[in-house]
Amino acid sequence: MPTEHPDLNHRDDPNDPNDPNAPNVGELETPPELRSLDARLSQDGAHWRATLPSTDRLARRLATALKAQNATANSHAPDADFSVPRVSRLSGRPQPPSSSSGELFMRQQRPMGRIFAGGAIVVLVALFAVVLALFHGIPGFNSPAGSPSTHPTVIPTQSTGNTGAFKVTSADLTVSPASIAGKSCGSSITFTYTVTFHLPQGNKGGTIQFMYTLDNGRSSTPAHVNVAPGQTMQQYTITSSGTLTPDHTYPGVAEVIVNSPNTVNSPQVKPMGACH
Amino acid sequence: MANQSESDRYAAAVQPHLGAVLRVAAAIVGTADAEDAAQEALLRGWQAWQNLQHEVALRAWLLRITVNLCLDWQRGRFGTHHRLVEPLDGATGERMLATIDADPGASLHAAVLDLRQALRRLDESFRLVIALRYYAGMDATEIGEALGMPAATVRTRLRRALTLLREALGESGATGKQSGELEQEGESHAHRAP
Repeated sequence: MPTEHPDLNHRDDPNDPNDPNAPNVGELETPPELRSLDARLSQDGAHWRATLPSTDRLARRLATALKAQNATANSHAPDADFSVPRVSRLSGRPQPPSSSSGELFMRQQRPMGRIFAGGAIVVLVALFAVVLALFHGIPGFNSPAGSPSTHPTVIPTQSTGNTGAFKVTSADLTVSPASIAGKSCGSSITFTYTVTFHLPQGNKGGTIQFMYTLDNGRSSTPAHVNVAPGQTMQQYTITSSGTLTPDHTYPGVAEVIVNSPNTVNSPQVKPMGACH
Repeated sequence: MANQSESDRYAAAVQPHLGAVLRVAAAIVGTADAEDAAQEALLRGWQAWQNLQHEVALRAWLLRITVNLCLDWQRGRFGTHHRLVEPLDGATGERMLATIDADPGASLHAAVLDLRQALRRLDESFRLVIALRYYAGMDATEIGEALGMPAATVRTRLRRALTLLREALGESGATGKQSGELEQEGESHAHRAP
């Protein structure tokens, strides 16, 4: 019994010998001795296809995966919405939390990328040093004391006081609510993570590039925040909505790692207690 | 934001072809791994999306990616993942289409089971064109585009595969009319199937 494939956009379906659009129709004619087998395979194939899952879940998985890739690739990503559980691309199952904090941020970074990034930083620092050295070799650019220090505060013409080195001295991380003890597993909840970057007085301002994880490094999100000259503290807020899981995988351990202008790690935080 | 809109465009473009991608993946790696393999193929497509010059070729391009990835998947190039799903008997030649045997609806029909058993004994190249043609539902042109060969070659290979399959079924004495006497044997296959 010939079986139709209405959704397969067939152009030369051997089960449809009357298809006027089929190219080289004569060549496609199934020999009489094979027609019975052809029909059996077509019937079995149609039955087997009917047992396949719908594509809705695949579409959702693709959307989630694309969103995750965009969040990683886009350094201007907005606050992450973690209400969608992260799904393993290979297993399709939620991934367990990492047992080692040493794996933080390692999964989504490629070794070659890290090497190139490190090399680029070294080259930039070297170029900066060369430029400074050239400026110090020009009369008028030397500091009155003749100090080799590149600290701008020794330059008398700079009077604003906001020309100091731009660096992050520390990063604090807090989460609110700080405890989930007494809450029911399965209930929805929104956590607010607040990152506080501390900078030295008189800094010249700039952009802080950092990454944050809310699930013990299973995933990380790049972000940045601008600091005005002289500003000694800057905050960044991250919200995460989700469902308290009975296996206590949500919420996970959160941490912030500053990549630029220098490397600083925040403490790891996680709401205390467990749902019941 | 531009990347976001581009990924949205990609998701919309592949939406009509998700069924075909899923069917191809299921036909090659089995229904249990089909979604994982299909998602992996679609993500590879996204990574190479900028290289696709003509979107009219999107379907063939996607199916080719899917076939190549699934064949790699079957041949054990997915490392840990594959070792986790590899049958304990290590019967490499029987991995392809293995999960088709697990179809509970067809397990009642001994003739169907015998057909699939014979199919699994074919060489991979023949088994592949049968799987793509009858189970994934692709035509010879699509199979040719996916496998990188002329459609005429696909048709020739398909005819040869059907001939070999018919011979295999003839040797085993199984036909649709004899399903009654093979019922018990068919059920034993179903229990052995992973």
